[in-house]
Amino acid sequence: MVSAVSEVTGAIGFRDARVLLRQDLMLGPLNWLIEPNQKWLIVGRNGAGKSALVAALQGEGERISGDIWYNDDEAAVVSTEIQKTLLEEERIRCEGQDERISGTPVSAVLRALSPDEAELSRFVQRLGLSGRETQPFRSLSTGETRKVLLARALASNRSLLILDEPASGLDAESLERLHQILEDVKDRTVLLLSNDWSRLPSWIDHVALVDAGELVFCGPLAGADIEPWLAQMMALSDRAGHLPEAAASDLPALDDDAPLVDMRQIHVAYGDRVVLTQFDWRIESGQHWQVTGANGSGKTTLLELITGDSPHCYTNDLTVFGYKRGTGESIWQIKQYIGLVSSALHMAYRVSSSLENVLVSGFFDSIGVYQKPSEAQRQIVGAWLQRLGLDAVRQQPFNQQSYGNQRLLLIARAMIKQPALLILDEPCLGLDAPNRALVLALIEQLIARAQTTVIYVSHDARDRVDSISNTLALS
Amino acid sequence: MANYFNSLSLREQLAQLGTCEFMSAAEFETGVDYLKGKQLVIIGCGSQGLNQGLNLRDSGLNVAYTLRASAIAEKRQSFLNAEGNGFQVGTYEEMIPGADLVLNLTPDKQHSSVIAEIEPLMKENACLAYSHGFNIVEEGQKIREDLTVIMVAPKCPGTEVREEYKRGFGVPTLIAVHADNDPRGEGLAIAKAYAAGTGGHRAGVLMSSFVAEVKSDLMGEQTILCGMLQTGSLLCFDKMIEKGLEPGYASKLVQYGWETITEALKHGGITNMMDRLSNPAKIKAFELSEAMKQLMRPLYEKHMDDIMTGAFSGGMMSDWADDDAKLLAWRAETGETGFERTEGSSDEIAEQTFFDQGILMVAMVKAGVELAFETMTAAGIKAESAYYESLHEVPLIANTIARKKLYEMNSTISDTAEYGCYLYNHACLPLLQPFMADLDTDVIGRGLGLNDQGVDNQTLIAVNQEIRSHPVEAIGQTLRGYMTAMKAIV
Ligand SMILES: NC(=O)c1ccc[n+]([C@@H]2O[C@H](COP(=O)([O-])OP(=O)(O)OC[C@H]3O[C@@H](n4cnc5c(N)ncnc54)[C@H](OP(=O)(O)O)[C@@H]3O)[C@@H](O)[C@H]2O)c1
Repeated sequence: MVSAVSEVTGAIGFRDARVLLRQDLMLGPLNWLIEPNQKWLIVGRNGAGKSALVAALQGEGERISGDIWYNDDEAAVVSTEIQKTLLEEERIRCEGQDERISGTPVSAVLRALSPDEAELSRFVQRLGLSGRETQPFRSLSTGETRKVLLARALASNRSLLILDEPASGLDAESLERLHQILEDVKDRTVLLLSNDWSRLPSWIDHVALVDAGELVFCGPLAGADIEPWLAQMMALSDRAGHLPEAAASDLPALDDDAPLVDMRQIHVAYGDRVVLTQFDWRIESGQHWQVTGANGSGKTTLLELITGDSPHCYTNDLTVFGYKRGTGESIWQIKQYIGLVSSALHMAYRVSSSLENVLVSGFFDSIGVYQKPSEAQRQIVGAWLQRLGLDAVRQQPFNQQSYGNQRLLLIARAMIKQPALLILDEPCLGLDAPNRALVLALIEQLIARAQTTVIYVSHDARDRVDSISNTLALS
Repeated sequence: MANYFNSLSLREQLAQLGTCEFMSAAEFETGVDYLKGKQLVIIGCGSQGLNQGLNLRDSGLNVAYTLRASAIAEKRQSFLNAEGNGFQVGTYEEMIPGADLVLNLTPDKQHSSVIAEIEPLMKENACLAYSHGFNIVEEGQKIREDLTVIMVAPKCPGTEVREEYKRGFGVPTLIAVHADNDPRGEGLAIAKAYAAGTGGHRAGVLMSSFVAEVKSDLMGEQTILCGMLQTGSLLCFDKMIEKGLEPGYASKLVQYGWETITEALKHGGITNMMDRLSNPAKIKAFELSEAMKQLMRPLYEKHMDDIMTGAFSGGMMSDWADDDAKLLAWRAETGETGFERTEGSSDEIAEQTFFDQGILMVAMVKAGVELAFETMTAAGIKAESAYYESLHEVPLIANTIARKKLYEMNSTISDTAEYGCYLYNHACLPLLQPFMADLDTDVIGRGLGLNDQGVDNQTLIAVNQEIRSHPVEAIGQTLRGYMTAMKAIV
């Protein structure tokens, strides 16, 4: 049981607390006091235990000893977990209905935390959500659903905001706006969980460092000597190495002279909203592309036309890997040439699988594994796990991994068959600096092998890939 | 039209009821090839219509929709579903004449009028497909002799059909060819290609017959699946109120209890569900279940008999003719029950608590599954079909109650299932009343609360033996084995 907020000071936190979070995860003893209105950055590597720590604060797991102070009614939380749960509930509730036109409207999700109406419309505007209120929540892009959660949390009267990797899915401009908004938040407590220590937002006044499930440091930012720790973190991460081999391919070879993708006069509209119109795009083999564009610019639709996940691939003049879409090819014939990472895929990867099997599923383009991998494929999986530094935990369940580790695995899953076309939609979201570096290196190595063409979407200027020279900017 | 089943000789009746064979993956090696280049037209774009159509198109088939004119003119949800997903949509006159395969995915109640309209428009030697055989078997619909008639029935709601396909998997599916309408002997080839197009072949396909599918589907849905859960919900809730438990808590225990309990059923059958109880609770649940089975057996047999003779469908069709008077009255009545009207409390109930405090609910699930299975197999239905139509579907229905109670369950299931469910409930409630009078909160609401968990060894051995040796457990183990073997192959 978690006691209410400590009456005397109104603070929340732990005193000598030990918490059994899962069968194999004991936290503590923890000592951490968060006074009202403090602004905390809780920072650590992917998988360091940041979310676990906050879960324990929220009363999850079994308290073995000590005290925990926390009041759930006072908290507004924004996290990938909550986003996932809401979307999943919507999916079940609206069985059999078209997601672009039916489902709970954005306005109802926004009002679920009984916010102050004036505040709400202010944040809706500042986060660029105006005009979205009447649309179904589940029709929004990942970035937009994230903004809805942020807006409703900010506009609520809750005295504690817990923001778990709020940057996930936001474009650079939206992220900037979020920090401006947080700058003005005075009379409430904010906990910001992040793996990005290269950036200390100016509004932060306290910092908690988490490493290997332990609270290494917590206290005021002023005077905290965290540099050596950061340096150590960076050093830890050097995982240079070779790109694992590709399995021998039994796919029908592609025509070298034909483009991989040929789109002509594409037109896609949802109701009255035109997403793409009179749009042409040709992707030649070996021609790598960086795609940019704000949330809602049609980027997701564009990529889904290629992967076959948008129904509009059947209503447009579109040829992919030599298949003119809608002429008798199956979606699996298309997918066999593609490796894909996106937030939508991450959300959809909901089956309980071991880390190893998540990689195996990359050979079959499935979520979960329903076919037997060959011995050669198994060995390649082993090499990738080693390269990622995850071979010791290969049998663990995917859904119990940290968000960052899940991401890393899904990137490897997309790369594992060294596909003709690799689509990376904001792959580095949720990755810490060392893992970002690892992913960028892997992309360069794949490109150097000259078998794979890359479409790369990223908002973060730090994540540039030097070998990508073509740019498509969507507005 | 006359009931088709009743027009058959006993020999043919038994042969069709007993048609049931698990098909090997090798039978689907050619995938959708048989339908490549053919024009598929789906009538209706609801739960099955939309989701099957999306899968079939993604499998490389040519899919279009036809809807009744009013749905197109008023741009109803069905029209938006089809149009918004980029399908061609047209009236019967526009679409049916060009179709090689017509998939009738309208509600069962509408089938005879829909068929009457579209049949004359169908081109010669085309094929008509169903996802449930009520119209053919119970209404005795005669289809033009040149047309092939088949069935491909996914054993899951439409959204699951789509979700599993997107993952690269599928849902268990029954297929059948109507013996009276297979003039060119191509029915099976079409049904296999259609099943492969929905992804069903990856999860397991059972070769069945129209008769076996309909009779077992009706029996399952009205007894254990919907009927028992409805009756059980009402009885358990009322008992707890009578004994002074907090209504919000009672409501929550029942609403989420079915889902939690039957999740155990899904993974390891009745054996695993019973193993989740403490030893004294297990023995208690076993005794309760035996007592209920004795009381309810005649009721299950009556349902099976009425389904077999056609008395059930006859009664329901007269209600259709009477503008659903009974169905609507029963639906309203259900909405007024204490369980339905009491908001669940916000208490957290731990997973194990649902078992410990829901011994009676566990007993009801066990009694219902076993009785439905026993009655079906005694009537000549094969164990595989009986399993899919009883135990396999209980967790899927329990999920709907967890979402929004009986209202949600009754609006998700078909009208036929809903009608049968109320029929069962009306007979079963009074039947179990005297039995319920002797029970207390130790079996529902509070738990046994024993300090001493001791039991007699001999009794426990005998009870375990009885649970494990029930025939539903043997077939369940085999079929779940197929599913998991396919699902998590490594
Ligand atoms: N739901 C399941 O879990 C399930 C599972 C397996 C098999 N099935 C079978 O699948 C079939 C379809 O069931 P469903 O649950 O998908 O039904 P549904 O969701 O209720 O959809 C029915 C569709 O038919 C249209 N429709 C209704 N009345 C019509 C009429 N008089 N004429 C023409 N079209 C009409 C509706 O559109 P408009 O009203 O807009 O015209 C709607 O698009 C049934 O045979 C059912 O037994 C269902």
